Amino acid sequence: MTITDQWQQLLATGLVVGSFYGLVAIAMQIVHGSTRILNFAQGDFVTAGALVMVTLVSIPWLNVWTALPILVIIAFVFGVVFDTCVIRPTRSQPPIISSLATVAGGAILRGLLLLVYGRSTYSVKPFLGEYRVNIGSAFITSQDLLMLVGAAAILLSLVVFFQFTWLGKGMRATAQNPEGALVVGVNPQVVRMIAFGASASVSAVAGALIAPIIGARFDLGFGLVLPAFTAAVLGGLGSAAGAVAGGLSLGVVGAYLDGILGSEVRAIWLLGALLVLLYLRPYGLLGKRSSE
Amino acid sequence: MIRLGRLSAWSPVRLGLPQLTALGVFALLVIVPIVTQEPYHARVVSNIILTAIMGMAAVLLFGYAGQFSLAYGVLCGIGGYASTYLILNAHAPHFLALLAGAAAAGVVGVIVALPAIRLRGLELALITFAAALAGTAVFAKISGYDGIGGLPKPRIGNVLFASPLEQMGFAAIALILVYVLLKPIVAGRPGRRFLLMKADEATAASVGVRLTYDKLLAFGISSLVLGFVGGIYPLNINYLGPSLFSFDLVILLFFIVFLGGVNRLEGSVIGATVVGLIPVILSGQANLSGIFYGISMLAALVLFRGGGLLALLEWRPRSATSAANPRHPVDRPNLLNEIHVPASVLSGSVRPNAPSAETDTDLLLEARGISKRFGGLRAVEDASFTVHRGEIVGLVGANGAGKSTLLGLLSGYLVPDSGQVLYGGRDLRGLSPAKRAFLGMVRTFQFPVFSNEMTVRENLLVAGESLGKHRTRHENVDDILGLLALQTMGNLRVNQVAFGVQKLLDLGRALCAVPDLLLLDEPAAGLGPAELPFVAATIASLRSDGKAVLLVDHNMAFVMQLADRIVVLDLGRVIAVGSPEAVAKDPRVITAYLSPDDLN
Repeated sequence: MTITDQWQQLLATGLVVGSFYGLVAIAMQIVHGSTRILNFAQGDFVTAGALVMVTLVSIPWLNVWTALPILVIIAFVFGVVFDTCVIRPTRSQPPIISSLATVAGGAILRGLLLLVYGRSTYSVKPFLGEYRVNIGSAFITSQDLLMLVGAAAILLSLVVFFQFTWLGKGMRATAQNPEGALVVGVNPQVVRMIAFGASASVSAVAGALIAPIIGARFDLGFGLVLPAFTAAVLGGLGSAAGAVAGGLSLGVVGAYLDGILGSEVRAIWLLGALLVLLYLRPYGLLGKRSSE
Repeated sequence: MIRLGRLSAWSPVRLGLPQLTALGVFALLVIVPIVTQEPYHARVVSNIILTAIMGMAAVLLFGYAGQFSLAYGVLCGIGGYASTYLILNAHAPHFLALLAGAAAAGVVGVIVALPAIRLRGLELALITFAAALAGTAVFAKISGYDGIGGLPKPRIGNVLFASPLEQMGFAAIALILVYVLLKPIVAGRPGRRFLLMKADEATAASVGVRLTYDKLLAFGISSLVLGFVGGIYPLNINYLGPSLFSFDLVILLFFIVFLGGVNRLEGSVIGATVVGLIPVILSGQANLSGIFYGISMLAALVLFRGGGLLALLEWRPRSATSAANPRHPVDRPNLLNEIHVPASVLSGSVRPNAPSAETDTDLLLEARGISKRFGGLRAVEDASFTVHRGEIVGLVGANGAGKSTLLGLLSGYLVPDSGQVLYGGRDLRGLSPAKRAFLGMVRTFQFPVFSNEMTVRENLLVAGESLGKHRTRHENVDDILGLLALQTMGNLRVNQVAFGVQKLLDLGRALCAVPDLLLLDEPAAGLGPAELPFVAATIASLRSDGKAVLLVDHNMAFVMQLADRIVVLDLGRVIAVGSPEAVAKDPRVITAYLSPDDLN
């Protein structure tokens, strides 16, 4: 089959992968938006989510639907711990140093996952069983569908959180003007802590959702950092909807390009895309030029 | 600190305890394999030395120039792949191949740096992160994921480095070569410019540091070094593959840099030694190394804050610094009577572009109808005024009147929407702040920024040093420090002195740039009653040297007392120009913002 024959399938796959990228990009942005820190350990957060999900579903008295909320809580606590141990000690230094600290934190997390889970790939059963949905000449699995729905649901809840809750507004305010936010009673320490917790939760759900599709392995996440960053830049750093839009378009374009060029060279065109993007539209495809 | 008279303070190589320690560690590293004659030891040391060289490149780029790049591995790889394939396919002499590899990495490094001119911080990190991963993909395409072996042993001329011990010697020679090349750069003018640029780009530009040039210079030099080492590495271990130059190498280099000290070339030997010995100590526990690296890097980031292990050796007893009594500036008895700026201090070499007295009598700066909008806000509208040689012009106006915007427009930090800035009859359109500083127009900022990684004297030295060869000498800096009665502070760090002293130093720095026109933004802000008349006298003395000053300040008495003429801004418009007395009586000015009390 040629690319032209496969276009429907590639589109479907691209959308699924893209919604996953979008989720990771959102997770990245929750942190970057409120702290200006680029979390290089984001991919490892996703890996941890996938692997912990493997453990949770192996517990006899838990099923997928009881495991997911537990995973979200564990991930949130983990995010707070990560913030306390890795970011907090560098808080008086510029964001770039804290970003470097996430590189170190990621190495530690990867090492711990390697210790616990080793180098094997774990397969996870699809949450809804082995169903397929045929659309034209393409099909998507029930898990693919769940990924799309899950991304939409998380996006929606985050939009509600950031637009309508006091804490969400406070976090956006901190992103724009930390001192100003502090003056009106938003504690940047707490904001950062919650940002890491929420980011870890979203990452973990993304990891849990992708695990049945590609399998869980200790280094699953590292390759995700670049596409997620690119998706976030594509969507304009600072908008959750933009991140998902960026993820979806990157997923679809990526599926076609992988089909033509092979997935090994993905990093090369991602670099090209980033260069062009940051030169032409540094505020993203959907983002507006900020007042900075 | 070993000092050889006064000159040694300026010589590039200072042999202090940190330097001696690094030298000792380096000597120990090289001696151990020679004594044990163990090939494994020689290989370990060889790798330590090569990563130490890479660390030096990272120190220059990150520690000095402040550029956050994650592309170290890919640049090493470019050197490695270029030189190895030249040797294998074109049978190039090894030394030429290594140089070609270095050149290739240098070119790519500068190309990678081009975005750095527009992007900064995290965006640059993103681009270089992508470049790091893309590099690995390209290398895998060239040599396959498994890489290639069967490389010839390194040979320079007729000397063959056959055994691991000899290859270690080869690496050691490379390290000495690179150190001798880099040390004068980082300890000399470029290093000082880099440090000021790292501290604050706007400040650096204000005293003539060409940001684009210096960023490209830093990327270029560090890439050359990385490419050179990248070429030696595969020859020494008889293997070339993408895994040598992966992102892990970048993490290791940051670890080395933070452990050794971000702005210490010698520190990278210490950092590389620690990094290189970790896998040896953890042998058989490879899975643990990631955790160990991570924890150590975190510790280095948090504990040393960039100072590195060697900073621990620089601890000095309290009395050594308190002799200078940084928090309590020396008494300045009767300074107001003594103040006179010697013409010799302030006279620079003749500028080629300086306006000559014959063509235009005294006109130096002319703003012609300049306007600037920010969105819907008219920050400056149709502002026109002049500044002449030997004249102090005060620019006053209420908060939000557009004073700072106007200064930014004149000094090149902002681009006017319309209108012209003429300096000595020359239209300054399109000229960067650094270029304007070169022409003799130097500005200060309300909140002065200095590099705390340099001494006060070095901070002042940067100004003017970057402007031309003979504009500023060390003696001039000392003269200007003396003029400001700050001569005892030359060897302190700026964060050791009070804010008022920093304001004085900022004025001194601007003087070091040998300006014809000084644009002073709030020089009196934050000064105490002791410093205020002193600064006033210094500024007043500039007039007699034929300098021109445009003075912005909130302290009306200060401005009224100093200025020959006053330009009054209100809501972005020039509403009055004239002598202080005339302006003070102008009804428009009075209704706009002055109260009679301000004038007394």
